[in-house]
Amino acid sequence: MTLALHPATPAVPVSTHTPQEAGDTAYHRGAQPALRTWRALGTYVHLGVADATVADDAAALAAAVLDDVDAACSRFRPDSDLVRANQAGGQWVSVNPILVGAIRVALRAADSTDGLVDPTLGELMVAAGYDRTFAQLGGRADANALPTLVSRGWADVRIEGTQVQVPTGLALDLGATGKAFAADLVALTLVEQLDVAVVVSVGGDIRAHAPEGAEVTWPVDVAADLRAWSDNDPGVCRVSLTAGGLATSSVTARRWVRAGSTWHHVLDPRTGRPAQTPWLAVTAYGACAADANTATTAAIVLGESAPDWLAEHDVAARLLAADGSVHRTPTWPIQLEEPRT
Amino acid sequence: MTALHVLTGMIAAATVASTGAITGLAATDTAQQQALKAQAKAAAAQQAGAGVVDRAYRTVVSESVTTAAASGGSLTPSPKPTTSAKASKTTTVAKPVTTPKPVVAPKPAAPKPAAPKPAPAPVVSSGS
Repeated sequence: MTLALHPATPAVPVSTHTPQEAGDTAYHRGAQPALRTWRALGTYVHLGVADATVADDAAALAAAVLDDVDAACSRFRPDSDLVRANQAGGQWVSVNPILVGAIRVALRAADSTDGLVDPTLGELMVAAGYDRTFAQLGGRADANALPTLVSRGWADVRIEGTQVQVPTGLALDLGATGKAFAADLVALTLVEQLDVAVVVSVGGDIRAHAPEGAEVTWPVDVAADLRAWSDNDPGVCRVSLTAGGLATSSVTARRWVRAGSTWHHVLDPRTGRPAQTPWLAVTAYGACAADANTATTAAIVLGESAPDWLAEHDVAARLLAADGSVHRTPTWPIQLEEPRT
Repeated sequence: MTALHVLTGMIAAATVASTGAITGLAATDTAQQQALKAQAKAAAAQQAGAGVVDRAYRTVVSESVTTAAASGGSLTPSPKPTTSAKASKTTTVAKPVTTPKPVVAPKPAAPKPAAPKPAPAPVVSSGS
Protein backbone atom coordinates (compact mmCIF):
# COMPACT_ATOMS: atom_id res chain seq x y z
CA MET A 1 0.00 0.00 0.00
CA THR A 2 1.37 3.38 -0.86
CA LEU A 3 0.48 6.67 0.70
CA ALA A 4 1.71 9.51 -1.40
CA LEU A 5 0.66 12.36 0.79
CA HIS A 6 2.33 15.67 0.10
CA PRO A 7 4.84 15.50 1.59
CA ALA A 8 5.05 12.20 3.45
CA THR A 9 6.14 14.05 6.56
CA PRO A 10 3.30 16.21 7.80
CA ALA A 11 3.59 19.83 8.77
CA VAL A 12 3.95 19.60 12.51
CA PRO A 13 3.96 22.86 14.43
CA VAL A 14 7.22 23.81 16.02
CA SER A 15 6.16 26.42 18.50
CA THR A 16 3.77 26.93 21.38
CA HIS A 17 0.43 28.66 21.38
CA THR A 18 1.87 32.13 21.67
CA PRO A 19 1.36 33.77 18.30
CA GLN A 20 4.62 33.90 16.46
CA GLU A 21 5.22 36.33 13.73
CA ALA A 22 7.89 37.22 11.24
CA GLY A 23 8.23 39.53 8.33
CA ASP A 24 6.37 42.69 7.50
CA THR A 25 2.82 41.48 7.87
CA ALA A 26 -0.21 43.14 9.31
CA TYR A 27 0.07 40.91 12.33
CA HIS A 28 3.70 41.86 12.78
CA ARG A 29 2.75 45.53 12.75
CA GLY A 30 0.53 45.10 15.75
CA ALA A 31 -2.71 43.90 14.26
CA GLN A 32 -5.21 42.12 16.43
CA PRO A 33 -6.41 38.71 15.36
CA ALA A 34 -10.09 38.03 14.91
CA LEU A 35 -12.37 35.03 14.61
CA ARG A 36 -15.50 34.75 12.49
CA THR A 37 -17.90 31.81 12.54
CA TRP A 38 -20.86 30.84 10.39
CA ARG A 39 -22.34 27.80 8.67
CA ALA A 40 -21.78 26.58 5.13
CA LEU A 41 -21.71 23.26 3.27
CA GLY A 42 -24.01 21.86 5.97
CA THR A 43 -21.45 22.37 8.71
CA TYR A 44 -19.65 24.97 10.80
CA VAL A 45 -16.98 27.33 9.55
CA HIS A 46 -14.41 28.99 11.81
CA LEU A 47 -12.14 31.59 10.27
CA GLY A 48 -9.19 33.08 12.12
CA VAL A 49 -7.68 36.19 10.55
CA ALA A 50 -4.40 37.68 11.76
CA ASP A 51 -5.57 41.23 11.15
CA ALA A 52 -9.00 42.11 12.54
CA THR A 53 -9.28 45.11 10.24
CA VAL A 54 -9.71 42.80 7.26
CA ALA A 55 -11.71 40.11 9.05
CA ASP A 56 -15.02 41.14 7.53
CA ASP A 57 -13.55 41.25 4.03
CA ALA A 58 -11.94 37.88 4.65
CA ALA A 59 -15.17 36.35 5.91
CA ALA A 60 -17.10 37.68 2.92
CA LEU A 61 -14.53 36.30 0.51
CA ALA A 62 -14.40 32.97 2.31
CA ALA A 63 -18.18 32.73 2.20
CA ALA A 64 -18.10 33.42 -1.54
CA VAL A 65 -15.55 30.65 -2.05
CA LEU A 66 -17.70 28.22 -0.08
CA ASP A 67 -20.77 29.24 -2.10
CA ASP A 68 -18.85 28.41 -5.27
CA VAL A 69 -17.80 25.05 -3.81
CA ASP A 70 -21.40 24.29 -2.87
CA ALA A 71 -22.70 25.16 -6.33
CA ALA A 72 -20.10 22.92 -7.93
CA CYS A 73 -19.74 20.00 -5.53
CA SER A 74 -22.96 19.50 -3.56
CA ARG A 75 -24.77 16.23 -4.10
CA PHE A 76 -27.90 17.78 -2.59
CA ARG A 77 -28.38 20.50 -5.20
CA PRO A 78 -30.01 19.27 -8.39
CA ASP A 79 -28.26 22.01 -10.35
CA SER A 80 -24.77 21.29 -9.06
CA ASP A 81 -22.02 20.23 -11.42
CA LEU A 82 -21.51 17.08 -9.37
CA VAL A 83 -25.13 16.00 -9.78
CA ARG A 84 -24.97 16.66 -13.53
CA ALA A 85 -21.81 14.59 -13.82
CA ASN A 86 -23.28 11.76 -11.74
CA GLN A 87 -26.46 11.71 -13.82
CA ALA A 88 -24.75 11.82 -17.20
CA GLY A 89 -24.73 8.04 -17.61
CA GLY A 90 -21.06 7.72 -18.40
CA GLN A 91 -20.97 10.70 -20.76
CA TRP A 92 -18.45 13.51 -20.62
CA VAL A 93 -19.73 16.61 -18.84
CA SER A 94 -18.27 20.09 -18.73
CA VAL A 95 -17.98 21.22 -15.12
CA ASN A 96 -16.72 24.02 -12.94
CA PRO A 97 -12.92 23.87 -12.49
CA ILE A 98 -13.57 23.79 -8.75
CA LEU A 99 -15.27 20.42 -9.14
CA VAL A 100 -12.38 19.22 -11.28
CA GLY A 101 -10.03 20.16 -8.45
CA ALA A 102 -12.23 18.47 -5.86
CA ILE A 103 -12.35 15.28 -7.93
CA ARG A 104 -8.59 15.31 -8.44
CA VAL A 105 -8.13 15.55 -4.68
CA ALA A 106 -10.62 12.74 -4.08
CA LEU A 107 -8.92 10.49 -6.63
CA ARG A 108 -5.54 11.24 -5.12
CA ALA A 109 -6.94 10.25 -1.73
CA ALA A 110 -8.25 7.00 -3.17
CA ASP A 111 -4.99 6.23 -4.90
CA SER A 112 -2.79 7.04 -1.91
CA THR A 113 -4.88 4.85 0.42
CA ASP A 114 -5.41 2.04 -2.05
CA GLY A 115 -9.12 2.77 -2.08
CA LEU A 116 -9.76 3.07 1.66
CA VAL A 117 -10.99 6.59 0.95
CA ASP A 118 -13.32 5.96 -1.97
CA PRO A 119 -15.16 8.88 -3.62
CA THR A 120 -17.43 6.62 -5.69
CA LEU A 121 -19.74 5.49 -2.91
CA GLY A 122 -22.47 7.99 -3.83
CA GLU A 123 -25.01 5.32 -4.83
CA LEU A 124 -24.34 3.41 -1.63
CA MET A 125 -24.70 6.52 0.50
CA VAL A 126 -28.06 7.31 -1.13
CA ALA A 127 -29.30 3.74 -0.72
CA ALA A 128 -28.15 3.82 2.88
CA GLY A 129 -30.58 6.67 3.37
CA TYR A 130 -28.29 9.70 3.33
CA ASP A 131 -30.01 11.06 0.25
CA ARG A 132 -30.70 14.58 1.47
CA THR A 133 -28.92 17.06 3.67
CA PHE A 134 -28.28 15.68 7.11
CA ALA A 135 -30.48 18.36 8.63
CA GLN A 136 -33.36 17.11 6.46
CA LEU A 137 -32.65 13.46 7.23
CA GLY A 138 -33.89 13.69 10.79
CA GLY A 139 -31.92 10.72 12.04
CA ARG A 140 -33.98 8.03 10.31
CA ALA A 141 -33.77 6.62 6.79
CA ASP A 142 -35.58 4.21 4.48
CA ALA A 143 -34.04 0.78 4.01
CA ASN A 144 -33.57 0.77 0.24
CA ALA A 145 -31.71 -2.10 -1.41
CA LEU A 146 -27.98 -1.54 -1.27
CA PRO A 147 -26.10 -1.50 -4.58
CA THR A 148 -23.40 -3.97 -5.52
CA LEU A 149 -19.99 -2.59 -4.68
CA VAL A 150 -17.66 -1.84 -7.58
CA SER A 151 -14.10 -2.58 -6.61
CA ARG A 152 -11.74 0.26 -7.46
CA GLY A 153 -14.43 2.03 -9.46
CA TRP A 154 -12.71 5.32 -8.71
CA ALA A 155 -9.89 4.28 -11.05
CA ASP A 156 -12.29 4.62 -13.98
CA VAL A 157 -13.29 8.22 -13.31
CA ARG A 158 -11.83 10.34 -16.12
CA ILE A 159 -10.86 13.99 -16.31
CA GLU A 160 -9.93 15.91 -19.45
CA GLY A 161 -9.43 19.62 -18.94
CA THR A 162 -12.65 20.83 -17.36
CA GLN A 163 -14.64 17.79 -18.39
CA VAL A 164 -15.29 14.73 -16.32
CA GLN A 165 -16.71 11.30 -16.98
CA VAL A 166 -18.22 9.28 -14.16
CA PRO A 167 -18.62 5.59 -15.09
CA THR A 168 -22.15 4.29 -15.49
CA GLY A 169 -23.43 2.79 -12.26
CA LEU A 170 -21.20 4.91 -10.05
CA ALA A 171 -21.83 8.24 -8.38
CA LEU A 172 -19.27 10.51 -6.85
CA ASP A 173 -19.72 11.61 -3.25
CA LEU A 174 -17.02 14.05 -2.17
CA GLY A 175 -18.15 14.04 1.46
CA ALA A 176 -14.80 12.80 2.73
CA THR A 177 -12.31 15.15 1.15
CA GLY A 178 -14.66 17.86 -0.13
CA LYS A 179 -14.74 20.04 2.98
CA ALA A 180 -10.99 19.73 3.39
CA PHE A 181 -10.47 20.81 -0.21
CA ALA A 182 -12.80 23.73 0.49
CA ALA A 183 -10.68 24.73 3.49
CA ASP A 184 -7.56 24.64 1.31
CA LEU A 185 -9.28 26.77 -1.33
CA VAL A 186 -10.42 29.35 1.22
CA ALA A 187 -7.03 29.70 2.89
CA LEU A 188 -5.11 29.99 -0.38
CA THR A 189 -7.61 32.46 -1.79
CA LEU A 190 -7.51 34.72 1.26
CA VAL A 191 -3.74 34.84 1.28
CA GLU A 192 -3.64 35.47 -2.45
CA GLN A 193 -6.22 38.24 -2.47
CA LEU A 194 -5.91 39.83 0.98
CA ASP A 195 -2.29 39.10 1.86
CA VAL A 196 -3.12 38.16 5.42
CA ALA A 197 -2.40 35.07 7.51
CA VAL A 198 -5.47 32.93 8.12
CA VAL A 199 -6.69 29.66 9.53
CA VAL A 200 -9.97 28.15 8.44
CA SER A 201 -11.91 25.18 9.73
CA VAL A 202 -14.65 23.79 7.50
CA GLY A 203 -16.41 21.24 9.63
CA GLY A 204 -13.17 20.38 11.40
CA ASP A 205 -10.94 20.19 8.34
CA ILE A 206 -8.43 22.95 8.90
CA ARG A 207 -5.92 24.81 6.77
CA ALA A 208 -3.52 27.48 8.02
CA HIS A 209 -1.75 29.62 5.47
CA ALA A 210 0.19 32.88 5.51
CA PRO A 211 1.88 35.26 3.11
CA GLU A 212 5.50 34.53 2.32
CA GLY A 213 7.71 35.34 5.29
CA ALA A 214 4.84 35.52 7.75
CA GLU A 215 4.10 32.99 10.42
CA VAL A 216 1.24 32.84 12.87
CA THR A 217 0.64 29.89 15.16
CA TRP A 218 -3.01 29.19 15.75
CA PRO A 219 -4.55 27.34 18.67
CA VAL A 220 -6.82 24.50 17.62
CA ASP A 221 -9.26 22.64 19.86
CA VAL A 222 -9.54 18.97 18.93
CA ALA A 223 -12.78 17.17 19.78
CA ALA A 224 -14.79 14.19 18.62
CA ASP A 225 -17.66 16.49 17.75
CA LEU A 226 -19.02 19.92 18.59
CA ARG A 227 -21.03 18.62 21.53
CA ALA A 228 -17.91 17.10 23.07
CA TRP A 229 -16.17 20.41 22.49
CA SER A 230 -18.89 22.53 24.07
CA ASP A 231 -19.17 20.10 26.99
CA ASN A 232 -15.38 20.11 27.31
CA ASP A 233 -15.26 16.32 27.40
CA PRO A 234 -12.08 14.71 28.72
CA GLY A 235 -11.04 13.75 25.19
CA VAL A 236 -10.87 17.39 24.11
CA CYS A 237 -7.42 18.93 23.88
CA ARG A 238 -5.73 21.97 22.42
CA VAL A 239 -2.94 21.79 19.88
CA SER A 240 -1.45 24.34 17.52
CA LEU A 241 -1.05 24.77 13.81
CA THR A 242 1.31 27.11 12.02
CA ALA A 243 1.02 26.02 8.42
CA GLY A 244 -0.61 23.22 6.51
CA GLY A 245 -3.54 21.07 7.45
CA LEU A 246 -5.13 19.42 10.44
CA ALA A 247 -8.26 17.29 10.26
CA THR A 248 -10.48 15.22 12.49
CA SER A 249 -12.76 12.40 11.35
CA SER A 250 -15.20 10.89 13.78
CA VAL A 251 -18.07 8.46 13.92
CA THR A 252 -20.01 10.32 16.58
CA ALA A 253 -21.55 12.88 14.25
CA ARG A 254 -23.88 12.26 11.29
CA ARG A 255 -25.44 9.07 12.56
CA TRP A 256 -28.85 7.76 11.57
CA VAL A 257 -30.99 4.68 11.97
CA ARG A 258 -31.67 2.48 8.96
CA ALA A 259 -33.66 -0.73 9.27
CA GLY A 260 -33.01 -0.88 12.97
CA SER A 261 -29.25 -0.42 12.65
CA THR A 262 -27.24 2.68 13.34
CA TRP A 263 -25.25 3.97 10.40
CA HIS A 264 -22.66 6.70 10.27
CA HIS A 265 -21.26 8.57 7.34
CA VAL A 266 -17.82 6.94 7.14
CA LEU A 267 -18.49 3.92 4.95
CA ASP A 268 -16.03 1.10 4.49
CA PRO A 269 -15.61 0.58 0.74
CA ARG A 270 -14.57 -3.02 1.39
CA THR A 271 -17.86 -3.96 3.04
CA GLY A 272 -20.33 -1.30 1.95
CA ARG A 273 -21.28 -0.77 5.57
CA PRO A 274 -20.37 1.85 8.17
CA ALA A 275 -16.76 1.41 9.20
CA GLN A 276 -16.41 -0.83 12.24
CA THR A 277 -13.82 1.01 14.20
CA PRO A 278 -12.64 1.28 17.79
CA TRP A 279 -11.96 5.01 17.26
CA LEU A 280 -14.43 7.70 18.14
CA ALA A 281 -12.23 10.24 16.40
CA VAL A 282 -8.91 10.46 14.63
CA THR A 283 -7.00 13.72 14.20
CA ALA A 284 -3.97 14.15 11.94
CA TYR A 285 -1.65 16.78 10.57
CA GLY A 286 -0.93 16.99 6.85
CA ALA A 287 0.68 19.25 4.30
CA CYS A 288 -2.81 20.50 3.50
CA ALA A 289 -6.29 19.92 4.87
CA ALA A 290 -7.08 17.37 2.17
CA ASP A 291 -4.04 15.26 3.00
CA ALA A 292 -4.85 15.41 6.70
CA ASN A 293 -8.43 14.35 6.01
CA THR A 294 -7.28 11.52 3.77
CA ALA A 295 -5.24 10.11 6.65
CA THR A 296 -8.00 10.46 9.24
CA THR A 297 -10.70 8.96 7.04
CA ALA A 298 -8.45 6.03 6.12
CA ALA A 299 -7.66 5.51 9.80
CA ILE A 300 -11.34 5.34 10.75
CA VAL A 301 -11.93 2.79 7.98
CA LEU A 302 -8.88 0.72 8.90
CA GLY A 303 -9.92 0.39 12.54
CA GLU A 304 -7.59 -1.61 14.78
CA SER A 305 -4.63 -1.41 12.44
CA ALA A 306 -4.85 2.35 12.00
CA PRO A 307 -2.07 3.34 14.45
CA ASP A 308 0.45 1.10 12.71
CA TRP A 309 -0.66 2.26 9.29
CA LEU A 310 -0.43 5.91 10.27
CA ALA A 311 2.99 5.44 11.87
CA GLU A 312 4.20 3.51 8.85
CA HIS A 313 3.23 6.46 6.67
CA ASP A 314 4.82 8.97 9.03
CA VAL A 315 1.54 10.70 9.81
CA ALA A 316 1.31 12.66 13.06
CA ALA A 317 -2.00 11.48 14.45
CA ARG A 318 -4.00 11.23 17.65
CA LEU A 319 -6.66 8.56 17.98
CA LEU A 320 -9.40 8.77 20.59
CA ALA A 321 -10.82 5.33 21.37
CA ALA A 322 -14.37 4.60 22.39
CA ASP A 323 -13.17 3.67 25.89
CA GLY A 324 -11.68 7.15 26.29
CA SER A 325 -8.06 6.10 25.86
CA VAL A 326 -5.87 8.14 23.58
CA HIS A 327 -3.29 6.72 21.18
CA ARG A 328 -0.68 8.81 19.41
CA THR A 329 1.68 8.07 16.58
CA PRO A 330 5.39 8.73 17.26
CA THR A 331 5.40 11.99 15.30
CA TRP A 332 2.41 13.51 17.08
CA PRO A 333 3.71 16.62 18.90
CA ILE A 334 2.56 15.61 22.35
CA GLN A 335 4.73 18.33 23.90
CA LEU A 336 2.37 20.90 22.38
CA GLU A 337 -0.81 19.14 23.39
CA GLU A 338 -2.61 20.73 26.32
CA PRO A 339 -5.92 20.26 28.02
CA ARG A 340 -8.34 22.82 26.74
CA THR A 341 -8.39 25.86 28.99
CA MET B 1 6.85 -48.58 -39.45
CA THR B 2 8.15 -46.03 -41.94
CA ALA B 3 4.62 -45.32 -43.00
CA LEU B 4 3.66 -44.73 -39.42
CA HIS B 5 6.48 -42.23 -39.02
CA VAL B 6 5.40 -40.44 -42.14
CA LEU B 7 1.85 -40.27 -40.82
CA THR B 8 3.04 -38.96 -37.45
CA GLY B 9 5.19 -36.43 -39.20
CA MET B 10 2.28 -35.29 -41.32
CA ILE B 11 0.09 -34.91 -38.27
CA ALA B 12 2.81 -33.01 -36.49
CA ALA B 13 3.32 -30.78 -39.49
CA ALA B 14 -0.39 -30.20 -39.76
CA THR B 15 -0.55 -29.38 -36.05
CA VAL B 16 2.29 -26.92 -36.32
CA ALA B 17 0.75 -25.34 -39.36
CA SER B 18 -2.68 -25.00 -37.81
CA THR B 19 -1.25 -23.70 -34.55
CA GLY B 20 0.72 -21.17 -36.50
CA ALA B 21 -2.38 -20.17 -38.37
CA ILE B 22 -4.36 -19.80 -35.17
CA THR B 23 -1.56 -17.80 -33.59
CA GLY B 24 -1.46 -15.65 -36.66
CA LEU B 25 -5.21 -15.19 -36.47
CA ALA B 26 -4.93 -14.25 -32.83
CA ALA B 27 -2.24 -11.77 -33.66
CA THR B 28 -4.52 -10.28 -36.32
CA ASP B 29 -7.36 -10.07 -33.82
CA THR B 30 -5.16 -8.35 -31.31
CA ALA B 31 -4.10 -5.82 -33.88
CA GLN B 32 -7.74 -5.25 -34.84
CA GLN B 33 -8.74 -4.93 -31.24
CA GLN B 34 -5.96 -2.47 -30.68
CA ALA B 35 -7.11 -0.47 -33.65
CA LEU B 36 -10.67 -0.51 -32.36
CA LYS B 37 -9.50 0.53 -28.95
CA ALA B 38 -7.49 3.34 -30.44
CA GLN B 39 -10.54 4.44 -32.43
CA ALA B 40 -12.71 4.34 -29.32
CA LYS B 41 -10.12 6.31 -27.41
CA ALA B 42 -9.92 8.88 -30.15
CA ALA B 43 -13.70 9.12 -30.23
CA ALA B 44 -13.82 9.59 -26.47
CA ALA B 45 -11.12 12.20 -26.62
CA GLN B 46 -12.97 13.94 -29.44
CA GLN B 47 -16.16 13.84 -27.44
CA ALA B 48 -14.33 15.18 -24.45
CA GLY B 49 -12.65 17.89 -26.44
CA ALA B 50 -15.30 18.95 -28.89
CA GLY B 51 -18.54 17.09 -28.41
CA VAL B 52 -19.24 18.68 -25.06
CA VAL B 53 -19.55 22.39 -24.90
CA ASP B 54 -17.43 23.92 -22.17
CA ARG B 55 -19.44 26.08 -19.85
CA ALA B 56 -18.24 29.42 -18.65
CA TYR B 57 -17.97 29.72 -14.89
CA ARG B 58 -17.64 32.71 -12.65
CA THR B 59 -15.83 32.05 -9.45
CA VAL B 60 -13.91 34.05 -6.91
CA VAL B 61 -11.27 31.32 -6.84
CA SER B 62 -8.35 31.87 -9.19
CA GLU B 63 -7.11 29.14 -11.48
CA SER B 64 -3.76 29.10 -9.71
CA VAL B 65 -5.42 28.55 -6.34
CA THR B 66 -7.59 25.73 -7.69
CA THR B 67 -4.56 24.08 -9.25
CA ALA B 68 -2.50 24.45 -6.07
CA ALA B 69 -5.26 23.13 -3.81
CA ALA B 70 -5.91 20.22 -6.14
CA SER B 71 -2.27 19.22 -6.14
CA GLY B 72 -1.98 19.40 -2.38
CA GLY B 73 0.44 22.25 -2.31
CA SER B 74 0.62 25.93 -1.75
CA LEU B 75 0.85 28.76 -4.16
CA THR B 76 4.40 29.34 -5.27
CA PRO B 77 5.18 32.70 -3.75
CA SER B 78 8.41 33.60 -5.52
CA PRO B 79 7.47 34.35 -9.12
CA LYS B 80 4.70 36.79 -8.29
CA PRO B 81 3.79 38.73 -11.38
CA THR B 82 4.56 42.38 -10.90
CA THR B 83 2.31 43.59 -13.64
CA SER B 84 -1.35 44.09 -14.34
CA ALA B 85 -4.39 42.72 -12.60
CA LYS B 86 -2.66 40.28 -10.32
CA ALA B 87 -0.54 42.97 -8.75
CA SER B 88 -3.49 45.20 -8.09
CA LYS B 89 -5.35 42.24 -6.64
CA THR B 90 -2.89 41.95 -3.83
CA THR B 91 -2.70 45.60 -2.93
CA THR B 92 -5.21 45.39 -0.18
CA VAL B 93 -5.62 46.47 3.36
CA ALA B 94 -2.97 44.26 4.80
CA LYS B 95 -0.22 45.37 2.43
CA PRO B 96 2.75 46.97 4.19
CA VAL B 97 2.55 50.72 4.06
CA THR B 98 5.74 52.70 3.60
CA THR B 99 4.40 56.25 3.60
CA PRO B 100 2.08 57.54 6.28
CA LYS B 101 -1.57 57.46 5.35
CA PRO B 102 -4.10 59.98 6.52
CA VAL B 103 -5.29 58.54 9.78
CA VAL B 104 -9.00 58.00 9.90
CA ALA B 105 -9.32 55.91 12.99
CA PRO B 106 -7.89 57.33 16.20
CA LYS B 107 -4.69 55.37 16.00
CA PRO B 108 -1.61 56.48 17.88
CA ALA B 109 0.90 58.15 15.59
CA ALA B 110 3.68 55.92 16.73
CA PRO B 111 3.17 52.38 17.84
CA LYS B 112 3.31 52.04 21.57
CA PRO B 113 5.78 49.59 22.95
CA ALA B 114 3.24 47.25 23.45
CA ALA B 115 0.98 45.37 25.61
CA PRO B 116 1.16 41.72 24.70
CA LYS B 117 -1.02 40.84 21.78
CA PRO B 118 -4.05 38.74 22.50
CA ALA B 119 -3.76 35.17 21.42
CA PRO B 120 -6.04 34.25 18.57
CA ALA B 121 -9.24 32.50 19.57
CA PRO B 122 -9.06 28.79 18.83
CA VAL B 123 -10.71 27.19 15.85
CA VAL B 124 -12.15 23.73 16.26
CA SER B 125 -11.24 20.47 14.58
CA SER B 126 -13.97 17.95 15.23
CA GLY B 127 -16.07 15.45 13.42
CA SER B 128 -19.06 17.16 11.86
